[in-house]
Amino acid sequence: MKQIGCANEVRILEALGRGLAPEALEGPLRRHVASCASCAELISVYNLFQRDSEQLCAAAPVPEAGCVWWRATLASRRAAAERALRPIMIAEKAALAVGGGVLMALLVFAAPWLARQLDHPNTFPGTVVYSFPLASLIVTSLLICLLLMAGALYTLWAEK
Amino acid sequence: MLTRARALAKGEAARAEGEVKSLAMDEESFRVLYERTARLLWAYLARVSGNPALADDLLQECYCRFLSLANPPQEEAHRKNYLFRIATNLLRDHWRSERKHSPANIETADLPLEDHAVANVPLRSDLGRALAQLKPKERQLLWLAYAEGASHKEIAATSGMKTASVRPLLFRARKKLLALIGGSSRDNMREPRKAAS
Repeated sequence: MKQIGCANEVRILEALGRGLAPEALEGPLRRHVASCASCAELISVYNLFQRDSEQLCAAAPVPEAGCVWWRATLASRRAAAERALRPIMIAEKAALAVGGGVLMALLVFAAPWLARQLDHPNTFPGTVVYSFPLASLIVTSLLICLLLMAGALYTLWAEK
Repeated sequence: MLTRARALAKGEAARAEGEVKSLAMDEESFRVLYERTARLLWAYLARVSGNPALADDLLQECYCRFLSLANPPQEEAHRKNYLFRIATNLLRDHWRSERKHSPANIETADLPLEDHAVANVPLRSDLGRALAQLKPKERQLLWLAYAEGASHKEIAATSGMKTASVRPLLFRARKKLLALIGGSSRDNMREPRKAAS
């Protein structure tokens, strides 16, 4: 098994972590550090990091607390607004999907019948005969539906 | 009908916008916490990322995320640890997205230490240069252990690794750092730190 330093390192680090300066370590630990190369190395690295941290903290360009608070408030409001609008967005998307699906299904199922009507505009299955071209009426209705859908989509897009 | 529902929801959203109660603490408590931790957190982010501009961004993001917590820690020490954990996660996310966009190995890539507008931030110290050559995980471990004085358990909680793994990894990272710093600089390290106030 590879050596991973001295067993006392954890105790020394804990003491240093409590804010104790290396030279203020308890008697036995201080005597140990004086005789243990690994622990002495630990103290040296600790000192190096502490000095570096102090320098960095002194020069740290942190923004004002109020600025960060304001940003957090904005983010929180945005998140709350999104949460409140989410069910409606889902309902809108579902309605669009269902509407589109129904229209597609109608077109697919009515295609053969529509083609027949286009070939024989004045006849209808059965005995009824219309006095005006039925195909024109259906095509116009479909076009109006499509235009309305496009208008609705544009309105949704414009709102977003 | 949808338009009416949307109008109602917008009213609800506007009401939600008016509420600031959803933040984890009041402004005064936040100010106290911020004054105690912001510089330490910035130093951690700057040293581990090697990029002060990124540290600026992530610092604010850390506090925003902390304030949006549903159940924030109540004790001061836990709050600080939690902030460091958020910072660590943000750094990890940043590196993941960087790796996705540039497949080159970023772990040992040169870090943009000179890119910051604040010229007096002493990032290019011996320690800074040596840390920049270590892996991000090693930088995190070393900083948390030696600059923050975190215990192995706290380091494990912050970095998301097992407590038992911290000691060997920390030992190896320290050896690697000392090898990078070299003997001449090591003599400068002998100077003891001032007693903690």
